[in-house]
Amino acid sequence: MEDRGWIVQAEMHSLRRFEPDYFLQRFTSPPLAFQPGQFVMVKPSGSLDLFLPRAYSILRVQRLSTGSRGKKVNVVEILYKVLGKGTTALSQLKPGDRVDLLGPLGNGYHVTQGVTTAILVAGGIGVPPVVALAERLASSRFTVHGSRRKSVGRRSSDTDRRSSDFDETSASSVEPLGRAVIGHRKMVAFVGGKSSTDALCLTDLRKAGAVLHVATEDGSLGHQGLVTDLLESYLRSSGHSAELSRSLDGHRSTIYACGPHPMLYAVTQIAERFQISCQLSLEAEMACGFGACMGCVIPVKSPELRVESLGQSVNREPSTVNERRYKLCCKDGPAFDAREIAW
Amino acid sequence: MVKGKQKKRSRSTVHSSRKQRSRAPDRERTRGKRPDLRVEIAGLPLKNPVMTASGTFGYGTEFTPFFDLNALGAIIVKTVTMHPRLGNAPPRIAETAAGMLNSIGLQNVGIDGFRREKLPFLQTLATPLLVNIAGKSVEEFADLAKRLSDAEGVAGIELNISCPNVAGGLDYGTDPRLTYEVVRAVRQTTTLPVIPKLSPNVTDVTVIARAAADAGADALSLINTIVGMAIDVRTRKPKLPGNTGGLSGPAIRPIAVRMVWEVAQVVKLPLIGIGGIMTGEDAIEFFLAGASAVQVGTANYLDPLAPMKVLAGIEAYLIRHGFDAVTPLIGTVLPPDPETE
Repeated sequence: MEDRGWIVQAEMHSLRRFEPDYFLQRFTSPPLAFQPGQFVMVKPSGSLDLFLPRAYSILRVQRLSTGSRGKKVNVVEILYKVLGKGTTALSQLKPGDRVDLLGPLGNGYHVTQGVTTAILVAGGIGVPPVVALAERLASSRFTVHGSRRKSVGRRSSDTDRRSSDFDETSASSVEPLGRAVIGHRKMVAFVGGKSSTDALCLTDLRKAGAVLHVATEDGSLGHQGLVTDLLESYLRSSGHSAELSRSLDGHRSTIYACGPHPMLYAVTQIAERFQISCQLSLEAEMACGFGACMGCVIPVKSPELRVESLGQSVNREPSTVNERRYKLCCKDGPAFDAREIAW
Repeated sequence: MVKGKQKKRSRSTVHSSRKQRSRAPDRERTRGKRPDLRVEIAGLPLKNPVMTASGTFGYGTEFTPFFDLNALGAIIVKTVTMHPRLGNAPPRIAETAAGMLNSIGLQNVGIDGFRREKLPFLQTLATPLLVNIAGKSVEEFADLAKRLSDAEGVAGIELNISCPNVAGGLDYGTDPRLTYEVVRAVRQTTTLPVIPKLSPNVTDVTVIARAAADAGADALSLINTIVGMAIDVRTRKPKLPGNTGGLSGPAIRPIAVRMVWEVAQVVKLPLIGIGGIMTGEDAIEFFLAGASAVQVGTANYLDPLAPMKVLAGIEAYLIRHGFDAVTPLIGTVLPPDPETE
């Protein structure tokens, strides 16, 4: 709700290419506190032909040593595939080049208490928020109420995020929070892509402690087929069922997904069949990223359906009103409860 | 953006001759003194000439994390209609060179929702609030104006007679007879300042401006977006589902400056210049062309601090060029240099 963001005249720190056309890019920034699933708006400074900033999910924020003098810098990392003008321009930047960077923005994944299995599903370039979540869960430092505030530089008072379930600082700089710690007991990650080069961040997910399942459409890595096939057979074989989910009040597992639209739709249907709560990170064309332009609307079924506690409304039928409604991807999302999306 | 020699030369000419004509105080005397940024629009005293353009500033709250809204000269919020509007189907945004097309379709909460949900926050601000309204008929415009006149905290009404993205949205801004009727109807309904927002999608904007002035407008805002179209050559389909959208951003600024200048020649009302303002110097162009105030629009999307940066840029220009206030600049564009043999 309370989007807190700030403008940074950031600089590109480093760029790493993953063949064929994926790029991991780092920008120097103030210590940036973020929820997994939140995003930044980025564009090269001063460009007019490339007019609008683009939204990139935050992969990671960390503190790095640079050079031999051991000077430390904070960086925000994004991972993208070069697809159009915006990503092409970013991929051509050199270290030290200036960018306009605004964030963190939006509402990330909402992690509820009582969930014991986090099921992560990533398709292609949808992987960054999923990795961010895996790493955050792995650090086991998320709290129920987010009561502790970290100092994040001079804007510290602006960054306490009301809805945050997380201690918000990067993994490398905070002590565990003690009593309020809860955690997923288990993390299972499903990663899909067209080919082996499109299944990204596998090492990161494994390092975070996730049990990995990989699917590629051409069979060059892991299961040949769709990642959603793997998800479905996993749920079946691990004893998930609609009845079980109901009896557990939906608290047993939660799916967190990001990827192409057809994948997200399939994941939603699977989640519904197994009565598992499911959150999707969506994207839409946006101009601003903070709710002003109203460009990035997502059709939703009912405004009430997004509920505070995911467990409570599992059995409630989404209203099938003819009345179409929109939510803003940037401000209401980009993470949404899958049941509220009007596909 | 390459600024040619010609431009630089004329700027310095403006500087020196302004000094002579209005005897602007020299730098010795103005040193350390901040220029007077106050302007008056439609009887409203504003502490500075920077406003936010309707549709680009939400209902204000979107920007509170970034700066103190009371630093603005005035706030203009997203168009309010009689009934809530869902807006157009996505995608609603398409980037273009130095600009963007939008087709939001006046998504808003409606007049009752506005008064109930949005106005209370806006009432807490000291900065004057101008509410932009769009009606489907002359009567609806008047009715909306009436409902706002009763509301506390509304300093003026901007009439959206120029939205290109809804059926009939442009009608009242492209036919001088309809412009006259709608402005007159609102004028007769309210004592609040009435400011029609003009469309650039006309052959001669001065005709519409005159009609609005004759009908009793207190000031004029110009320009709204220009109808445009972009096609995705990969899919060979329009980038926006409604085919066309409204073009905004720096790409349209020269058109906006020209129209402000044209209207300033024929209408004596205060003008509010809108169109691709990204910097203080962009705003200065509008003052020179004849605007008494400006609205920052699309720039808000790229940088939520844009209005503050424009304001700082205006002040810096005034100091640099030895002006002690913004008003002596208004409408003082000089004639072009005579052609040399």
